[in-house]
Amino acid sequence: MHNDFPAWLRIEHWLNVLFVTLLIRSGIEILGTHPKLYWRDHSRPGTEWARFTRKTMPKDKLYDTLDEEEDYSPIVSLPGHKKIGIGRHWHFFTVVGWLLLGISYVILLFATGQWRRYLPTSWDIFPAAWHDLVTYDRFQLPPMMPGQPFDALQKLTYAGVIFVLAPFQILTGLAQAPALEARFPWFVQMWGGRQAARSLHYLGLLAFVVFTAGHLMMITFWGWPRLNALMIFGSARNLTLAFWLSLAIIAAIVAVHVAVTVWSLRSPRSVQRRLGAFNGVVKRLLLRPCRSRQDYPVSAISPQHRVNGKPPDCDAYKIMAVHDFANWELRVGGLVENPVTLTLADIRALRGKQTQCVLHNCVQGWSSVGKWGGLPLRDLVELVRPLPEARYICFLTMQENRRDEPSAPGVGGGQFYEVIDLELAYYPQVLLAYEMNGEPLPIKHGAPLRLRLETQVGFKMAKWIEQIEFVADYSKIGMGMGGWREDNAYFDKDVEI
Amino acid sequence: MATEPIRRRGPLHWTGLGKLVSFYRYFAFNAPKTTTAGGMALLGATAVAQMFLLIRHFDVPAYVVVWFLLMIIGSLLAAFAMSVGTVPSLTRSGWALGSAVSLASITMYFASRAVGLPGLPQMVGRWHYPLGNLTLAMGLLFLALHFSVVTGMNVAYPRTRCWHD
Repeated sequence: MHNDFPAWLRIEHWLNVLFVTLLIRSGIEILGTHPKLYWRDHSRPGTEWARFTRKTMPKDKLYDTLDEEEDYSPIVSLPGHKKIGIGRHWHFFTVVGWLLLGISYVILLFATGQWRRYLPTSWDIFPAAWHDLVTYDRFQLPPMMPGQPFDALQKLTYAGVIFVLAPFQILTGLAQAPALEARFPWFVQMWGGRQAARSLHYLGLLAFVVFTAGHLMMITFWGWPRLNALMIFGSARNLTLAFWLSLAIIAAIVAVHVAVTVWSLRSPRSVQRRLGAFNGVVKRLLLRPCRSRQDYPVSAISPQHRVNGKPPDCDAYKIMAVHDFANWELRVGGLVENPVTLTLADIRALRGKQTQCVLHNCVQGWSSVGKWGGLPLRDLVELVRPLPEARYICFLTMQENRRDEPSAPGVGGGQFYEVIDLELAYYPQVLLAYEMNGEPLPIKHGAPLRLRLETQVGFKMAKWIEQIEFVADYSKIGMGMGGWREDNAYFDKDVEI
Repeated sequence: MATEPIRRRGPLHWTGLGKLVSFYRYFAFNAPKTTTAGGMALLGATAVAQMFLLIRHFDVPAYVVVWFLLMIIGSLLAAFAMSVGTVPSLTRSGWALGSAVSLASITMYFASRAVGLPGLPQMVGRWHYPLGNLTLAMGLLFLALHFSVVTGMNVAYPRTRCWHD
């Protein structure tokens, strides 16, 4: 094989550097929102195998998972300062670019014969790689492979990164998508569960960091100007120019990081609108078709379900709770032919209870398995008969945000609400739940009524619901982004991943 | 919620080490068996490397043979003690012995190559000897692992974290 690197390979190499570094920083931002890693899907407090936080939670009062969020520096995370919504936008936007780059890279590798550069074709490479390892242990540089610009150990490492580590990261990332988990429960079980997939995904991130450090060290030892000339000009020429150009390219990549960080911190709404629009299209195309088919055994139910969002604190709610919500009423209206007001008894009487034992995915990363019982949302939709112009369902709740949203500091509060597409109401396992694990829904988990939408992450599943409105447009509700978290924490409205 | 206090005054603040310590304390792991198994594997590898060295260089002065034997026995003893979970003091002694062996091995590595040892002038400047470099790496890794246990980043068997949250 000729030592020269073709132009497409060089361009893709530098784009890969940009994408991978963006993915790592935005991945660390996502980790910061629940900086704990588990092996079991219960995510039971105290069972994590790793934590990346200095916080300890109180024992004497109710805390929720939002209190556990860490405020990482923008130096290591994108954008930093507890902005998981924006971190998610960057992660998913970048991963689409990285995937397209990877697919084109592999196609071109095989179409042009360049695959021989990275993929071993003989078992002889293993003893050669061992010999190289021993040579490095002598603090010496091993010989290059005949006709190739690197040694056997380097070739094996590149093959591992391109053909094993990169697909591993994509698959373990997908295994954390609620829509895929709901449609293909075996896929997440294949990795040992949702939390095992998350842990493996972050170990993969660590592997990328270690590879990058080793790669840079090798380039330094083997000759920075010469190797960078190969990756800039395609061949070892103009070494001085290559040296300065390599620094300029790295500076440009750093500049992109600085620019997107500053943009994200100064104008998060702008990032949310632009990247969210792109990511939304991809999610609707690839993940929206997934329907939940979960049926976990009762033995899989988690002993403890974490609390996310604090229950209402107003007297009216407390009085209703004392009376087992006998006088609670759900108003259902908006663009419907038959607006109704229902008590809990009415909802129970509407139809036989549907139950589902499913995996709950929080946007923060923790999970648990629970059995939920309630009224399928489609039955309520059929009862009220939406008008043709109705496109969305808005869930209005009694949750007061001024006291439980540390992820949106400085926000004035208001009642929590969420908007979902009307089409989702007809999906299987979309439930207005009034039972959890065979008992009446606990106050801390949304009593008397909460939404279960198994193909999306947890924050869409509004708790403490008091009103449901069918609407044609949500741009006039709140700040117009499709939910309280979308308005204030810049989350994406459609969260199938 | 509570955040573990970090001193804002004093040498940690003046030198900037405070930030480094603060960063270090963002990492905590609860894998005691893996940690102990890792430490035992490092000591085991050290013992095997020392055995190879002894077999290959049995013609060295007697005190060096004794040194190798002490290193091998010390490594294996330390690894065994670390695995005994029922007697905490023995487990702690195992880690301490492991660090002592590692430190001795590292000291011998540099002393033999930089200054020279009686009866071993040929070792001076032999920085390229793979087995020696391997024992150096194992020793450094064990010291780093033990440091992480002592400072609380890791816990070693039979201890476990008492995280309530």
